[in-house]
Amino acid sequence: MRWPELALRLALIASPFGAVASGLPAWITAPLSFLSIAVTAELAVRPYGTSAVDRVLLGCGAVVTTLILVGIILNLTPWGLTQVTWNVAWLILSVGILVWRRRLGTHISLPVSGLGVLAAWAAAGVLIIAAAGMLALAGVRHVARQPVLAFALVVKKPNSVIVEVEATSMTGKYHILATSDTAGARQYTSPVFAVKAGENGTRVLREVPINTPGFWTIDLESADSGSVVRWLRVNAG
Amino acid sequence: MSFLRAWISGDGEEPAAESQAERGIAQLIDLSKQQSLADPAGPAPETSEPSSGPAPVSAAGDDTGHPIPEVQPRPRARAVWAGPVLVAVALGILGQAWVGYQGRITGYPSSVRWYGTLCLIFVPSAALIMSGRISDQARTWFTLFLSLALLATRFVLYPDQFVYHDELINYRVLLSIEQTRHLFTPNSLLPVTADYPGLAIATSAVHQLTGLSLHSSGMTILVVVRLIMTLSLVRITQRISGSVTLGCLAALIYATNPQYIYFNSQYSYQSIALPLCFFCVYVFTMERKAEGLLAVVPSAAVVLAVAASHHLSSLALIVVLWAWYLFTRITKRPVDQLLALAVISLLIVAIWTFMARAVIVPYISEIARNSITNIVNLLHGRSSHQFFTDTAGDHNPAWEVALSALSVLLIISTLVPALWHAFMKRRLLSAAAITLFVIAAMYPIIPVGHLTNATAEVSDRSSGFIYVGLAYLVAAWWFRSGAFHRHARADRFTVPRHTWLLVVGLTICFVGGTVIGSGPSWLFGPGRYLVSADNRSVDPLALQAAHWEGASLSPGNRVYTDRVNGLLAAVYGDQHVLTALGDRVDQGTVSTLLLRNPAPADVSVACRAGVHFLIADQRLATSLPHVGVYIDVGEYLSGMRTAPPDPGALTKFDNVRGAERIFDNGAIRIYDLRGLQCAGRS
Repeated sequence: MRWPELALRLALIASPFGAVASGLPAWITAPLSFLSIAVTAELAVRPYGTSAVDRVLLGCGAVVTTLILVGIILNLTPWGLTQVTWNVAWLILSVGILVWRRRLGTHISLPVSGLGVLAAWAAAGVLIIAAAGMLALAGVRHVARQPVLAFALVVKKPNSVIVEVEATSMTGKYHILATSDTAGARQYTSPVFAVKAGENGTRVLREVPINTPGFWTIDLESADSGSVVRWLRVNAG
Repeated sequence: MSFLRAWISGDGEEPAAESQAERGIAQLIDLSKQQSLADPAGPAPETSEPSSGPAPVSAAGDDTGHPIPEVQPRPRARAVWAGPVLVAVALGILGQAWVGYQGRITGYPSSVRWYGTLCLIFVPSAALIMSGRISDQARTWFTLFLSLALLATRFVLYPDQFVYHDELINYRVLLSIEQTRHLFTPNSLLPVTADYPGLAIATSAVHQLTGLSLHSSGMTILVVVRLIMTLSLVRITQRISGSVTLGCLAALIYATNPQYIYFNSQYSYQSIALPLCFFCVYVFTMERKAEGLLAVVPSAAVVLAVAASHHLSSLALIVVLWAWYLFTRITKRPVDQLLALAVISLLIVAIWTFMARAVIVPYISEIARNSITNIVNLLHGRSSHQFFTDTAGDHNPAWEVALSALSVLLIISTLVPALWHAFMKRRLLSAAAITLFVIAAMYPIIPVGHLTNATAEVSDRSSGFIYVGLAYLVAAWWFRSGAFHRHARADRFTVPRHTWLLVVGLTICFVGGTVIGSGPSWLFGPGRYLVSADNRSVDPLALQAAHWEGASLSPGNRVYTDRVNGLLAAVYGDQHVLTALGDRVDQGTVSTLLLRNPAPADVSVACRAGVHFLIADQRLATSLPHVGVYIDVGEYLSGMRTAPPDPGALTKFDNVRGAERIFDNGAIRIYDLRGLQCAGRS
């Protein structure tokens, strides 16, 4: 292996380690890492693979097997399976393979001739598959936009409880009504408040004063219709 | 990139391979001899030139006395259809995405469109692969492309999250690794999965090494293992038969197995173990440079990975290795180091199973007990199982039923002569081929297993293994040269081997097999909410509740709820969901908390089970469960239910002293039961 190739391989091995450690986004780190893994795996299995198919198969199989076995070994260490231990383990493995296969040189040649027609078809295929991916995600976003409204307890305090209204894709005006059968309990009615939830949802917190310990029923009432849309039953105080 | 070059030029080794394939079963030479012929420096497996050495039968005739005709090489043809097929496959994936989109918009995904677009992927690819118009290399790559495209159909239906039962269970294992940094954290959803973390380890590694999300990392692993499975299958079959074409046909036949589209495409531990089993055999049959026990180290490493991934797959691998060894003894054609690998593998799997015995024994016992109970009920005429109908009464359309029945008939009608053909030429079979012969002969387990619910699941899961043998044997039969009967004329009892006939048959088996494996129509993709219907029960309301639990409750509370909300509570809510297997709760009793009308015993039941939070989905009262149970096997009125539970059963804790209702989103209510006045609790 000549020194330019060695340097390039070392850079490829080290770059994902640095990229992931520095917190770069996945669209940068993932391609780098996959390239690094593929290049290392190809080098490791090259003498055993008699054709491209065999090398791809051996490389993928070897990577999956190695990851599982390395994971079992990492589990035995006090640090376990973390980003650091995985990256260090892979770094050691990659350098080890580089040393092991130091006598193998690589000659890269791209099949330039005759690719034109099929490349055009392939490009069309890739575009269609990309469209499929976007369509699938559009469907997911549609579902995520469906209106939902939740009313929930957040925390209990000695003289009050905090409740939340968590909503997505809906608007409305509500007020909170707190009642209790406990002797001396004073009913509480909150001022009307608006919930304006877009596609990303919103969370509205309200504090409900409680004047006596016991079980309280806390209603979320629609200010428009006057009907109870959600309710809670809380042992407060 | 060399395959692209071969694709375009249309040159390569196709005529030779075709000739080799036509020699069919006569080429079933011993693997060990095949290995010794391999030339590590050149593309010998790709070229498939007729091997000189020990091929037992010449092209002139076999031991049955029937001549095996020499097939004239076809003229070289340009692969003009490769590009259009590539686009057709992409359009098929787009069609799948459209089906998913429509399902989400209208609530009713079209099964006709779903199967239609699957066929748009399968049919042109199968036709091209078997057409003989592309080189061997291109044929192999296209087989791989087809298998990955079929996997991609799952991704476009659910692109952003795991939604199926087994996926969520295995996702919980992955989350545990991320949270604790260590393996074997108990998983109450299915305890056995924690002790077989191979899939989760590989996913975690990809996540940590690449920075991809956990879900994307999981999909990456699924792609890689699908690649391993397809290419291993092609190569193993090729090594036994000497034909790339036969290997690709075997991979196509394998793609018709009932679990291919559905279960083996899921993020589940079997999805990684099965391909690694194939890979183990592939690695073992490679030419080995090392001597002695060192030669089996790579294969043993793969066995260890399998053992760490899935219990039954590792057991099946052991059985196959020992059967293979047994047949080498019978045929007196030994395979180097096979005994060593079989012994080492047995030790590895035995040790791993011993370490996991606390979870594996109850799990297997449970499956066995359910299967036996179902069979006993069937024998006594008490089975409530209905073909092609789920427990909520949803029927598969008639055309799906017809196609699945036709596919079974088609497989049997090809498997029987294939088995007979192989039997008649048994002296030519290698030990590996005999092993596959025996595996293929187990096919009747699959249709017969569908007589009951529990055995249907077991038999469907076994199809991943059985179809390896079936695929090889039927492919070898298709490329046979002589008659399948010793006393028959060569062309009398055999069907003409037109490619179109093969593709039609494969398509029927593909659609029919997918119907059998995927079950009811709602299971394949998104749509309106259905009660206890796995993917169709994971909706924004259920997800909202689960995410609220994760954000508002401390982790690890003992939670009791139905099947799907339990999965979501464990995965997104980080709660400990009570199950019969994980916590040994009496499901028949505890399930009354959700499924029985208010009763005085409710409080004591909740107290005895130590339930902290009860998650009650009001929608359970609207329909019978689509997967057979609301919560789990053995629940209250399990198998006897003719109507859904009364709505009052799900709201009864509104009026129980000490119970707090702390979450309400209209459908799902969460009760805090920690304040119940339990006997003996201060």
